[in-house]
Formats: sequence, C-alpha cells, structure tokens
Amino acid sequence: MLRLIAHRLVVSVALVFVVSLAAFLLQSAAPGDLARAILGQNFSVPAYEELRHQLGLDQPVLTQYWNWLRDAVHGDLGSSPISGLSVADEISHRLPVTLSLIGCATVVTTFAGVALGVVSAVRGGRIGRVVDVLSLVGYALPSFWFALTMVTLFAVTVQLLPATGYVPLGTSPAGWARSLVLPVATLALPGIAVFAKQTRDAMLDALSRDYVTALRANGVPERSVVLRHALRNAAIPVATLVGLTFIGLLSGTVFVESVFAMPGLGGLAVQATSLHDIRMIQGVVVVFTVIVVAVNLLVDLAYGRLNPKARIR
Amino acid sequence: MTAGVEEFVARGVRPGRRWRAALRRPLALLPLGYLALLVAGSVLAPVLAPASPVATDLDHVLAGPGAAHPLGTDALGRDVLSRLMYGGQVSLLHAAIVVVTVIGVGVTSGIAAGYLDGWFDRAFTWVVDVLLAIPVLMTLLVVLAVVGEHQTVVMVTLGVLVSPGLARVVRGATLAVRKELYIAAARVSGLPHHRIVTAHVLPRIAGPIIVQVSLLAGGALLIDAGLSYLGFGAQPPDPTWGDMIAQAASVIDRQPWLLVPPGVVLGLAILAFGLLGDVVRDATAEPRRNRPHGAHRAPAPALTPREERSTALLSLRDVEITLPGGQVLVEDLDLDIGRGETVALVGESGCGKSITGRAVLDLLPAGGAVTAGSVLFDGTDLALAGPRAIRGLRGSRIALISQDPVGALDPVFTVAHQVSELVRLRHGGSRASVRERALGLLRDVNLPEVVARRYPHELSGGMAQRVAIAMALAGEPSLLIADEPTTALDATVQAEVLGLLRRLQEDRGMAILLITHDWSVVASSCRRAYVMYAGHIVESGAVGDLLAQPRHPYTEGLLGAMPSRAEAGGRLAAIPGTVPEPAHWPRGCHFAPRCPLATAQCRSRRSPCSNPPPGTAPAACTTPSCPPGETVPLLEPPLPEPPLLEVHGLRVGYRPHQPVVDGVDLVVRPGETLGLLGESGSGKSTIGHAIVGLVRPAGGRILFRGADITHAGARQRRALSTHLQVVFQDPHGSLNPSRTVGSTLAEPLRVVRRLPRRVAEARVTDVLKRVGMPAAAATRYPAAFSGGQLQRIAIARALVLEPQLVVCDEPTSALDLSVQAQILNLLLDLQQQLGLSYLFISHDIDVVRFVCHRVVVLRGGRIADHGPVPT
Repeated sequence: MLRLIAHRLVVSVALVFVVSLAAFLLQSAAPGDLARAILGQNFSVPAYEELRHQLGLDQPVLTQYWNWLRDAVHGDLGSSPISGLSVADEISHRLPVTLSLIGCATVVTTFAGVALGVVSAVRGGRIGRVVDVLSLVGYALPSFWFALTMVTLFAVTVQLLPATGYVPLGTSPAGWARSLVLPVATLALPGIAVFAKQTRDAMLDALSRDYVTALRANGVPERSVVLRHALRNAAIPVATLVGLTFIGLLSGTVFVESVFAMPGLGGLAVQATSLHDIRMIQGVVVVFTVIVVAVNLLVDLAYGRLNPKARIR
Repeated sequence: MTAGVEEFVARGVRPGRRWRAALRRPLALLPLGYLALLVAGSVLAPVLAPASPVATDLDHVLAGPGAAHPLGTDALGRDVLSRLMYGGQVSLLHAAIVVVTVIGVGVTSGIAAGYLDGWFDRAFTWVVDVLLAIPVLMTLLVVLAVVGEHQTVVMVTLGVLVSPGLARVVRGATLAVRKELYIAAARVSGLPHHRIVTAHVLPRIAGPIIVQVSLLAGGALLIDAGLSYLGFGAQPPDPTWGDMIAQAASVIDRQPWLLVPPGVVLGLAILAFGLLGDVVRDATAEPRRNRPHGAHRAPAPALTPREERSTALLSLRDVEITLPGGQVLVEDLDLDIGRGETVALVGESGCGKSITGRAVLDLLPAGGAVTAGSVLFDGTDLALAGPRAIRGLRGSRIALISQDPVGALDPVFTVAHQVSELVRLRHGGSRASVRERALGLLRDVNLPEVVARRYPHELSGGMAQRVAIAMALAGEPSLLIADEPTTALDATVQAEVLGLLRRLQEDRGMAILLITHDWSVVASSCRRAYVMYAGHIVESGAVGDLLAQPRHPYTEGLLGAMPSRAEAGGRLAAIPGTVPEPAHWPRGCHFAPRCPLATAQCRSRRSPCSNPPPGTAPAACTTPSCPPGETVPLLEPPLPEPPLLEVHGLRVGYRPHQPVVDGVDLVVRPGETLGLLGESGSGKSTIGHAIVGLVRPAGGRILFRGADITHAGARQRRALSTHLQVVFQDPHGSLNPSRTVGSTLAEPLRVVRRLPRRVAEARVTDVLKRVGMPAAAATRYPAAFSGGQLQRIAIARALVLEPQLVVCDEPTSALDLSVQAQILNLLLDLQQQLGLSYLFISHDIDVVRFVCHRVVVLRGGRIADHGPVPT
C-alpha cells in the first residue's frame, strides 16, 4: 500500500510537470506570441521587442518555464496579459463555485447510483431494465443540451428554480442550494446510470461467489449477506469509479457552468480560451491537475482500506 | 426465452468472433442503419439538402416544421434540415479523425505492452497512469487557445488524450490471451511472434476493441459538439450541430422547438454508437456464472407428504430436482443418513452429486428446486416446509462446506470477524465471550491463534478449509454436507482434513454427507456409500462390498479406471465416452450407451434400485457382472541408451534468492517415461516449462540429444519444435477457441515445416486417427468437444510435428476418472507404437506409478527422492 501511494505520488508530480511543461511548449510553438496578442494588430517592432523582453519571452523556453515554476511553487501563477488580473487570485475566487458543483454532483451520483444498483441487483427485472435505459440515455444526451432542456422546463415554463447564476454559500445557504439544483442534476445524470450499472454488475458478481453460498448455508440472514458482505465486496471496484467520475465531472462542469452562467473555473477557462489568454488557462489546467491528483490519492487510500489484498502487512 | 435462443445462436457461431454475428442482429442493424443514414445525408448534402445551409430568409424566421421547411427555420430564417445535413459533415469527419488516431495509438501500444511484457510494459503502464489523470477537456482548451483554427490538430489531440483508456483495455485483453495455454503451445510449436499476434491474439481481442472504439466514437461526437457549442468550432455562418444548439439556446424563450432537431440527431448518433458497443459486448462477454439466488423459481412442484416414517436423520425418497426450464437434473433419488453416520455420495462430475447436496439446503443455483419426492430431516419434510423453514435450519442443524476453501470465505473480512459473526448469530453474548468462543472453534480445527487475524488470501487451502469447517461448526449442526472438501488440496493436507472431519464426527456425533469422486477418500472415511451416475443412484451399500464386488457395471467401470488398482504396464479398463449432459440422457438406463453389457431391455427402461434381493445391497442393474477387462502385453522396459534429455543443476527463479527450482538433475532416455511427482508449488511444472522454453532458466544446463538448449534462440527453438513438444493440464485452454481443430493442427506444419496444404491436411487426418478421433473433427471448433476429446486433440497437436519427447504437464488431472483412464491408455499405446519418450508431470502417485518407468520426487524445488517406480 505504501509503495502504491509512493508510486502514485511520483506519477502525480510527474503529471503536474508534464502538463505545465506541455502548456509552455505549446505556447512557444504557437503562431504569434503573448506580446503580439497584447499589442494587437498594429505595433512597432521596437515596442514589440521591448515588450518581449519585459515579459521574458526572449529567453529560452526552458528558462521561461523554470521562472514560471519557481513562482508557481510560491503560489504565484503570474498575471493575465489580457486582463492584467492575477491568475492565482482569479482562480481562488472561482474555485468554490466549481468545487461546490463537482462535490455535490459526486455525492449525488455516488449515493443515487449505488442505491439504484443494489436494488436492481437484488430485485432485478423491471428496475434492471430502467437502469439499462437510463444509462444509455445518460451516455447519449449531450449535457449542455440536457441543461438547456432543464432550463426550458423548470426555469422558463414552470419558473420553479433560477435559470442561471450562483449564490455563495456564505450569502444564503438556501439560495446556494437552489442555484445548484439544476446544474448538479445535469452533471449527475450520466454518472448515476454508470454507477448503477457498475454497482449492479459488481453486486451480481459478488452474489454469485462461493462465499455467499457458504454464508447462506451457515444461516446468515439475507440482509447481512447483501448489505454487509456483498456490498462491501462490490464497493472495491465501485470506489475506483468515484475517482473516474470526479475527473469526468471536471470536463462536464465546463459546459454546465457555461449554460447556467456560473462564475466557476470552467467558465474562466472558456473565456480565457476564446481570448487566447494562455497564461490564465495554463493556471486553470495546473489547478485542475492538482485536484485530479488529490482525488486519485484519496481514492487509492479508500481502495486500500476496502481491499485487504492491496494493504501492506 | 429470447435470451436463451440468442445465447444458443451465439454458441453456434465461431466463439471469439461472436461480434461478427452480433453485428448482424436486428438490435445492431438499427443503430448501424441510423449511422449509415447520417453518413449518406451528410455526404450527399449538396445533392439532397432542400436549401443552402447559409441562405437566409428573413420573412420566415423561427418557423416551426412545415411544408417549405420540414424542420423549420432558425433566427435568420435558414433551413434547419439543410444545416443539419451540412453540419453532419464536420461532426462525422471529426469523429472519424478521433477514431483513427485512437486505433493507431491505443490499439498498437496496448497490444505491444500486453504481448511483449517486460520493461516496455512497465514504461507503458507508467505513461498510461500519467495520461489518464489529465483533464481531457481542459487540455483541449489549451490546445484550442494556441492553434484555434486548426480543427484537425484539435481532434488528433483529442484522440491521443483518450487513447490511454483504450490502450489499457487492449493491454489487459492481450495479457489475458497471452497467458492462455494455446499461445504457449503455439510458441512451443515454433510459430514466430508476428504470426501469433495476428492469427491468435488479434481475433480474440477484436470484440473488446470494437466495444471501446464504438463508445469513444460517441464520446468524440459529444465533445466535438460541445466545443462548437462553446464557440470553438467552425466559424459562422458554417453550420455545426453544437453551434445550432447554442443558437437555439439564445432564442429558447421564443422558439424552444429549435433545440429539438440538433439535440435529437446528435443524441441518437451517440446512442447508436453506445448501442453498438452494448450489442458487441453482450455477444462477446463470457456468460455469467449463475443467476442471483431466487431470481427465478422452478415449475410448481408436485409434492405429497410421505406416509412411512423414518428413523434416519436425513431421508430422501423419490426425489426429483428440476431447473426452471423444466430440465430434470436428478431423478428418483433415495438416500438415507443415520445420526452420527458418515455416508459417501460418489460419482464423476456432472452426475448430480453437488446438486443433491445443495437441494437439501435449498441452495440450488439458477432457481432449481425439489419438484417431487420427500426430503425428511429429523421428521420434518423439507420439500413441503418451504424456504423459510429451510433457512431456519441452515447453519444451526445442517451446514455445508465446499470444494474451493479460499473462495468460500469473504475476502474482505478477517477470519476472526467471519467466525465471530456466526457465533454472535447463534449464541449472542458479550464481545469477549463471542471472541473466546470463536477462538475456541479455531482451536477445535487445529488452527493457531494467529490465523484469526488473517484475511482469506493469506491462508493456504488447507487452513482455509479448516476455517470453513470451524464456521460450519459454529451452529453445532447435526448434519454436515461436505461437497468435495479435499479435492482442491494436496495429498498430505487432504489426509489431515479428512482426519479432522473424522475426529469431529466422533467427538460431536455429527452426521456427514461426503460428496466426492475419489474412491480413496471414500474408503478411508465412510462405511456406506451411494454411487451416482447421470442423475440416478445406480448402486449403494457398504464400502467394502462396493470395492470388492461392484454390482453395477458403472461402479465396476469406475473402479477399473483407477490406476491404483491396475497392473503396471497393462491397460486400464476404461469406460468409453463421457457422462452425458442432462439434456442428452437416454431413455432407459442412463449408463446403457457406455455399458458393454447393455441389452435392449436396458435401453428401453430402467431397473429400479429399490428392491434388492434379501441380504444384498441395492443396485440398479440386473444384468450379470461382466468378465474382467483384458490385459495388454506388458511394456518392455527400455534398454539403457544414450539419453534424449539431460538436465543438470537447473535453477529457475522469478526473484533473486527465491528459486522455484533449485539444482535439479534428471535424465530421460529414448522410449521411457520419467515421472516428475510433487505437490503444488514443488516446481514440477516450472521444470517442464523451462525444458520447452516457456520460462528462462537462471542457471544450470538443459541438453537435448547432447546439444545445449538452455538458452536456445528463436531459430533453434523452431528447429527443436519438431523434436520436443508439450501437452498441458487444461484441455479447454490449450486450443484456440476461434479456430477449427484442423487449422490449429495444420498451422505448425504449414508455417514451421512449410508443407503444402494437401500434405498437411493428410497428416492432420492421420494424427487425428491415431489419437482416436474421426477425420471430421478437423472441421469443427473446440467448443464442440468434451474435455476428454479435447485432450486427445491436444495430444494430436503435440504429435503432429513427430517429436521424440513429449512433456506431459498434468495431462489428466482436469479429467474425470473414466476419461483419465482413456487418456492414460492412449498415451501408453502411442508410446508403444511411436517409441515416444515422456516427461510425465503429476501430483498423483497412483497415476505416476501406473504410467512411468522411473520417478523423480520433488519437494520445494529440489529433488527429494528418485528411482524406479515402486510396485
């Protein structure tokens, strides 16, 4: 287990390096650089050279990367050449929105999906087919399209919930919850079906094992067989799914924030992309990568707790 | 019903290539048709579209569907249908770019990593770990920010970013196939690697690849549309599906309809890819082991209370066990067990022994049930009592232990936890008293206290079986059903567990129903036995009588097939054929088709087992006993000749300082059989693998006819393949399921020997005849044969290159007793006819004693004993 975590940490650090370095290399390979982007269409060559020097763009790429990395370790991700805002500040403003969205969506997905999966494994039949259909629909529906449909139904037609915007938790917990209902529902839908299916398969597998027969033969009550023994075994493959779902939601949130006009990191990344604000989006990518790494580590720890075979003795 | 039919149809086609048939099924035709329609509509848009995609008509903005505009118009009055068709061009092209990239990067690297193993695989796993944690969409946004207008670059990047997922699946599938015995056999046959990958690996993993690529294609459509929805797609006014949704969103309050056409077309396209993936996956996935308990119920039973009372603890009368489909598994079964008695139920696999044991506890798989007769336990008829009453007996009155001891324990809880749970259930009490009692149970089965803290995977098979017994004892049952309790264990451990069961039975007065196929277990543990064949009890009585004077030809045949009762150098009195499946049971006596004494009467009706002449045990056969099996002339002991194979100081180790084989010397002479006897983990198979080149020795020398082959290269191995061959334990794994028997047998002749097709085919027919298979077997797939027939074919595959030495790696231990006898006889016949030498690896001393001239005994990777076979 310790070895696994050490391995994971090494991979994680490598990952953050690779991602940030790749972003840097891409940037230098791009036609037209930062200085030109700032100066616009009409500029004089001396002014351009001057700006390049100011921004450090005349140095070799790896030197630039080293400077950026040195600052990044101290929490300074530079500032946007387009808006002039500090990248780190901008990200820390928007991080709570995205984390609320993804966190709530993960919790909803996991609990609803596992419950549905267990019920469909034990009861089978109709609920099983509902899960099958739901998982296909969840896979096929483009999230942004689904979000728009939800807005049409619940915000425009019925006017039950706010169509757009975000209320911080500190301002009004009720408002925060109301503003999250539609986006979280949109984010969670595809994942619930995936979870339900995976949980059902894992449960059916566990229930077909010899130890379940042995437990039944020893007179262990069915409740305990299903909820204690089978579910505990089924939780092992499902735990890895939590991590994958979370990472998948990082992509989903980009669309959902855009549809619901939530001031989160996804929206920031889209905005930065359309402005070719590479500094900003690079910061967002690094933060996202760090989040992924942290979540993967948590999943590994959970996996180790659930699966005795992965534990060190 | 339909599921059953589909399954049957799927079985009829070439296994491993089921996906091809799957794509022709109606469920697959629908999505395929829809995708074809999309492609046609997009490609032919310039011809078919009713209007230009950019032609505005400001008089008809936001029109609903109508005659002029079948799907209405958008905010600029542009025809929605035309825009959809043109938009499809971009989306489908992008999806195609992603798919091509993914196949190029993911499939190639996955196969390479899975097949090559070693450092490449480790590097691959590392890179995939890194890439899998990259947030895909974010990275795409970076690329977009830099190269915005080059959509192809963006799509290729997307392909590369999603490749690791596919590559991992492909690696896993390749690794699984690479470990199959038929790949090992192909390597021993001298086939080059590229041939093995293209002919044996790729066809097997095509199914999972198609599934993944199909799902990825859907995902690519989704991301492509998403990007254009965010405004990073083709620039207006050119249409894309995502952009159409974005524009619809801006007029959502005025014309919600506009959301429908692009959303539905896109959603259905993704759905089509998803469905295709599902269909192929369902067709190629291995069938589930069994359905969850209670999902189906058997047909309504016709049970009547029994008149006669019984003094036996458990008494079965006229019991019939049926599956939900009406398939009868056990018929007219009578069985009695007295209090404190140990009774054996003997027979080969597929005879219904385990089914009978489980039926008593209502633990039949797939919803089977007792549908006729009575099951009296301590005066209560369980067949009438219903599931709730039986559940009350489980553990407290009747307990069960089974064949796979480690699998019978829940892998996520410690031993103490599992035993304590049952103690708490039965006796309750404080934490400390539960713990004390649980530890007491473990002491009762001779386990040290440290075992309590272990998890099942940290236990040996013998320890795990003791834990299972301790758990079964927690409720102090009066009957223990022991289903092949020692079959998976080594000989010494087997004796210990049987001894433990005997002691517990004496101490506690517990009755045991011992289900087994092993007569030596019966002889050592039971006084009375029932012999079962194809769902019937054919004979019962005192074990001594059964062994000395079997009355039913099946019992006699089984005993005759035992190597321990045969004369060395002779042949076993093998029963021809195999146990039939319940669906193919004959009408009269089920044994009649295999019985040398069967009469017309036997074939028309079965003699009941119930009315024995006074003073004799019941048997279901009235035909007089048959003459003893004839003996074939004794095999000449081989003359001392220069050795064929010499092994000197062989060492094999996967980790330094932990040799699996440590300094083994052995010699095989022409025409002789050298037995390599050892328990599991003794290193005997590893020696065999080192000789045929499947593992790399760490030290020592292997000489074949004087030439050093210890580190033979590919070329030398290929030359060697015509001298040295191998037969594995598992006959099902050692033939490629997706190729005909004929093509598997001909392959080394064509590829290694470079023989013309006609000559190779003639040779295949020849070899098949030699192993007792008809020439027609060449045109069929392995799935069509039973285990014994497959082992004959595997022997044919080893013989096709006319080797002098065949390494037989436990060639009969996966087979039933009667089939084992056939294969052993065949090996002896072939040796006599062809002058073959065998290195015969086995854990079974009786088998080794029967077939070998000399024997080497291995323990812990070293030679413990050697010499001529003791008689």
